[in-house]
Amino acid sequence: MSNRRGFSLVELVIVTAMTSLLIGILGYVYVWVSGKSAQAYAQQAVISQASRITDDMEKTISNAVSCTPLVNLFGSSMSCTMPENGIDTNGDGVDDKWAPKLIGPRGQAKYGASGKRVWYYFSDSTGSYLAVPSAAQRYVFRAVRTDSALPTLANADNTFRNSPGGGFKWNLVSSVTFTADAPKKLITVKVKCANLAYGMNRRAETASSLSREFELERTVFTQNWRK
Amino acid sequence: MHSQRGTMMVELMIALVFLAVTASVMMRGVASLSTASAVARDRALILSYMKSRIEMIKAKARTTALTPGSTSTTPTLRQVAYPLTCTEDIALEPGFTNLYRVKVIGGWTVGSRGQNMKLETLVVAPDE
Repeated sequence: MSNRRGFSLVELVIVTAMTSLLIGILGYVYVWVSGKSAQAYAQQAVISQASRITDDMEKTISNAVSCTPLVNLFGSSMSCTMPENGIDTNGDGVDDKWAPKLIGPRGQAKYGASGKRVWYYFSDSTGSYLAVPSAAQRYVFRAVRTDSALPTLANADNTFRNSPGGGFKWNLVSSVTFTADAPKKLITVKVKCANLAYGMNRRAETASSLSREFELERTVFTQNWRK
Repeated sequence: MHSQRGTMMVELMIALVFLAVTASVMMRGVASLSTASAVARDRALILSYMKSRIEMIKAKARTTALTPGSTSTTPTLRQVAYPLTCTEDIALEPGFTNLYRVKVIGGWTVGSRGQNMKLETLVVAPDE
């Protein structure tokens, strides 16, 4: 009968302590691994988004006849005048190929200086160009116009704005700044992105808590400067 | 019953050791993920810097001829953890008087591993 005695108090305490230790270690490892994975994933998303939007802007600027930055809230906006005779070959809403308007005496192609205007700007969710800065200007838009007037809601380019699966494509872009070196025909684009790992409302976050903020800077020469 | 109690303790000890090994492997895996993420960030920043350098050379080439030769700089890029060496190599193309081959080479070291990227383009200078 002595073989069938229950556990002693000491045995129970030891088992409880070791089980608690195991659970504690497991919990710590789980939290650490989850946090690190989330941060790495968020950093990748931020880098990818900053690179893609910078490449898009680079393509527009390098093909433009001229670009003019304008000051706005959350950075600035920019209007690029594209060459004439443009064709949208990939259907993204912006011309990406241009036929020369005429060939100069030295064989240089002249593209004309009054093509479409491509705008990049921050707006609220509607996409209208807001002349008066507003805290609702959280979203970066691209718009295309055929004249030099400010873009309206109707000019906003939905293929640029929306991601294929729905939702807003550039949700991590927190500011874009354009600066021009007019004599050299250089435009510098600074794109700042921040992840959502520390809260869904990134505008309400303080700068110090956005530990995965990423800033990409690109200088682009407006190569189709020949009018 | 004595042997059963002993097995229980041994089982717990084995579980503890197994857990420690597993946790260590997981932590190493996640640490390498973080390192890969940091390397990707550095590459994106360095590539953007090198593209900008090419664009600045194109802008210069618009009005003046380029000077053939090699120039090395060590720019400081914010957010890049490693020192970068950027070499710009400009050479006149054989058979041309105003066509240059421009190479921008970025080199940096992560730990003991050397990394590099090269961009190359042809530029007409002067182009106006």
